[in-house]
Amino acid sequence: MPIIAKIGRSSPRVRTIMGIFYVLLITGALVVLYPFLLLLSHSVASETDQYDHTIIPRYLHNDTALYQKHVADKYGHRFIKNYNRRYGTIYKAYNQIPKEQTPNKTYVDVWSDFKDNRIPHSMKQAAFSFELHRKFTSPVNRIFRKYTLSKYGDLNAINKHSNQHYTSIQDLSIFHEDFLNNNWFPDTSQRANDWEELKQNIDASLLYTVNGEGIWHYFLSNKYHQNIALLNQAHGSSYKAFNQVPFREKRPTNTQEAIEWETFIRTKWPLRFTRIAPEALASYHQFLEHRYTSIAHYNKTFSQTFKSFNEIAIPTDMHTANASSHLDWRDFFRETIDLKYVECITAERLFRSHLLNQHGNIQRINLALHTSFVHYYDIKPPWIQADWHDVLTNRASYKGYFLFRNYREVIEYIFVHGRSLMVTFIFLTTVLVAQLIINPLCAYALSRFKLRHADKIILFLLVTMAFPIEVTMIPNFITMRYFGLLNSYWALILPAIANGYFIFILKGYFDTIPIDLYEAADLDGASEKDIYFKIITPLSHPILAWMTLRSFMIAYGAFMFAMILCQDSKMWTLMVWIYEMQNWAPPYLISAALIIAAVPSIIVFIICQRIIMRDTGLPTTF
Amino acid sequence: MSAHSFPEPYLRGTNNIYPVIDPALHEICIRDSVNYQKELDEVAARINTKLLGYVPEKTMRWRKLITYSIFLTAVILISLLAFLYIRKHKALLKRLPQQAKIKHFLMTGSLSRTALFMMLPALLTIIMWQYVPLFYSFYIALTDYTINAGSTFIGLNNFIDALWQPDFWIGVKNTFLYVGLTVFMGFLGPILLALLLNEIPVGSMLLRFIYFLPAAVSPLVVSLLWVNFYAPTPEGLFNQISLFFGFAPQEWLQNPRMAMICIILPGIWQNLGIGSVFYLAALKNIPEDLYEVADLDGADIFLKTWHVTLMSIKPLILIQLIGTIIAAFHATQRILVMTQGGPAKATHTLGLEIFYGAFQYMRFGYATAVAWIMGSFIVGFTFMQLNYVRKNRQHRVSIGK
Repeated sequence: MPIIAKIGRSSPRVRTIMGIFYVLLITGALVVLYPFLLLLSHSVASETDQYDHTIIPRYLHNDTALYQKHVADKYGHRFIKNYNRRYGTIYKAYNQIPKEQTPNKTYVDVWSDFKDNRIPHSMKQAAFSFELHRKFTSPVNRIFRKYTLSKYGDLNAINKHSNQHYTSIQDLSIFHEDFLNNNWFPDTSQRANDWEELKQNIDASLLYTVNGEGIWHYFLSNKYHQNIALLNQAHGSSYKAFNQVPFREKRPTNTQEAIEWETFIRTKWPLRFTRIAPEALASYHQFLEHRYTSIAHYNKTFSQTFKSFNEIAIPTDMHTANASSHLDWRDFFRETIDLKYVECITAERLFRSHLLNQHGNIQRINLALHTSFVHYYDIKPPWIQADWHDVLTNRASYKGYFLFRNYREVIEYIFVHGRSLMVTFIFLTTVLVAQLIINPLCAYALSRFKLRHADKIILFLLVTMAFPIEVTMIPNFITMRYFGLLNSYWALILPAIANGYFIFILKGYFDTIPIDLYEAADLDGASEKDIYFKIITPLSHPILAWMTLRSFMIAYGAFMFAMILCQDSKMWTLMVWIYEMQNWAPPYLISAALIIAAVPSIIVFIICQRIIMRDTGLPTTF
Repeated sequence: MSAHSFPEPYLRGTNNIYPVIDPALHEICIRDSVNYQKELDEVAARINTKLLGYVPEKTMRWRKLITYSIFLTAVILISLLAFLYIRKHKALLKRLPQQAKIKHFLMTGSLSRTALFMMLPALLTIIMWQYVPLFYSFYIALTDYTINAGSTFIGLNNFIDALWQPDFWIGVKNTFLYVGLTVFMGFLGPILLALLLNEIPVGSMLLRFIYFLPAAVSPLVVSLLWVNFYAPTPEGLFNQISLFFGFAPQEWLQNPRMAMICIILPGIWQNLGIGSVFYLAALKNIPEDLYEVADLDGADIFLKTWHVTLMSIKPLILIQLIGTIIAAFHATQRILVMTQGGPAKATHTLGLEIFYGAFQYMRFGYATAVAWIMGSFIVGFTFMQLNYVRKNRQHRVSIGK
């Protein structure tokens, strides 16, 4: 205000100049603020939209974005392959999934009901189970850990029962069930059994049904390089997308399709979802005889005591098959078996037969469910529609979940390593208090007592600032080690108590206090202590506030030296933990951590600003 | 070929040869020269020097000669200056006996003891944690120090290493470049901001808060954030902005020519708000009468700003300038986080050379020698600053309004 005189302020020239000032300031503020707002919006993002760089996260107003996030969470962020396998689509990334038309509510409800009640748990696997890192907890793992803890009591009991050595409950997580992979076999460990138990009781929304036809579509799309035209050419058909090719229950008539169908079932179809007709037994025995020549040889290999091959049965326990004991069967399946004995069980087939049983024929199904099926193979569970329906009806809760999830994770992480909060707090308060006592005292002494060598002492205090901290870092480390002070509070606090720069600035401020004040105080009979505490300190609130602000920012943000001096993770400050988080956390989680870490600085700034600006503050000259 | 090849040794630290040998091999491939044996020998000599500290005898004698003479000259120069200074000071004292011997009525013997006690904690702390390590580190610079094994005195060998290390001179060049660019690009910002904020009648509190926000986020954080923005892929923020304006996506931090400027920008962004606090408070202290007088004399805005405002806070500006320069010399943490030395050593400053020398190559003697050389540059600046402040301490401005 001073430069622009008060008089003549309303003249247009002055007004334009003011306007220019405001424009400059506001543009500058927006430029300064923009990265900060980006940081804010990045901190509520997740894998699908972390590169979006918009100020308002898209999923707050765009349903497709919300759907993409939800689905990425559900099927595994980094594995668009899962989604493609499931729905027979060919998207390259989650954030390319387009909008679907409005889902058919009746149909979706019928499917939900069927899914929850009639599909066996062996066909369901955990959704939301992928963790980007075992420290970034998925909802299912959270529930699993709680369940295991309540079942066994505590971590030691869990370790004992399962013969493991978990160091913390965070190490326990469910394994990924890859039901649709015919090379995957579940293990029989205690953890797997616990998970099976939990699966019976868990909330249905946390499980999803595997769909067999998805791997058929995935297989075809890989074979034809994601180009439906090639498939149409080879089959002489006219499908619009891979997920329209039906997975036939009997051998297809079209020769090309038949070849692929056979290859697919033999090589890719998981054994656990097959049902074998008993007529296949005879050919199995023949196969075994051909392979092992004599029953004695077979008995020797497997330590059994069969009298002839006809006693060997088809392995029944396909779900928890021990691979080695079923090698023969798998080879038989892959090479020899006549596929007319094989029935592939898929959720689609179960649903189809259920609907047909209920309604009788396709027309009646169409009437009841408002659908428009034409062929038998058109009847499919509404996979994508069910997910969309879920997202559309639960918009608000999902938005809230995504907004706060990152912050919840970071806060949990900080409190799990809760010591860091206490360490940081003790460190900061001690350093601030020590600096507020020692620095002004020294500066006051230098200024008040007109010592002859005051300048030289100031020089003495300041010269060391010229040297980079690496110079003093190593000898300080050695000194600390010598005194056994490493990994303790002293290591962090002691070097930081006095700061030559602050003493210099403070002395400059104290120099501006007129000598008459001291004389008057002395006349009134004040002792040195009184003068210092009752007169000088209240007068220097602005400069002390400035010093507090500066000192807080330095102490709070320091991590390089702190990391070297306190290598034990028990003594790490907040900043060191956040720096360490970089090693494993995804970028949006780090953004959330940074925002949380910025809050104390802002609070301290607001407090100190008010004190600084309340009085006129710092002098212009020294 | 296999008859002449040896298995690659793998011990701890052997991967340190790759930063030296990779660019050399790359160059050999590019230039496709015939005489690559000679170049490989050169690289081998360089690695020997850098990692093992091995230098052939003849070169060593020549270097020792040069370094010892430089050192001797420096010592003689400093003692000469000190001697002259003390003589001048004594002369001054003789000339103005009154001022030199003023004993204020409050200053008695016991009070100077009080003064000493008041200063003692600060003095002790600084002596203990700054001076002692400083001299200890000078001692380290003269030895061949390793953390666990013993250390042997090797004289000025570390300094010799430093002076003949190409990385050192690259570091010097980059350090001065960094400091120069920081001052050129980032010094005037806070002053301008303080001037503007001082003028506007309404909303200054809010604006001050907004400008402060970047500083609330710690420097480490800001560096990481801007590394994210500088992503060279088309999805990186700055590339999206440049595409929006029609420019091609850049490499930002990967480009050796742009990397230096890219590193400095976050510092400027952060410093605007908090740097202006000091200036703002000082601006409030300029007496209004000066402005009125200037107005009466018919000064327009620019003249008023220059002659009244800026001249009044000139000492502050100069102090801050020197403070900025010193802080820029010390900015290692930010460069470490953002480019770790930069694409092809484009941002490899002396601070980084010290850090890597100490914590990656484990050559503490060498690192402290470089640190001392760097420190002696800056001590000069500190002396200048303090000299100037002392001369200007005549004015006393009363506090409170």
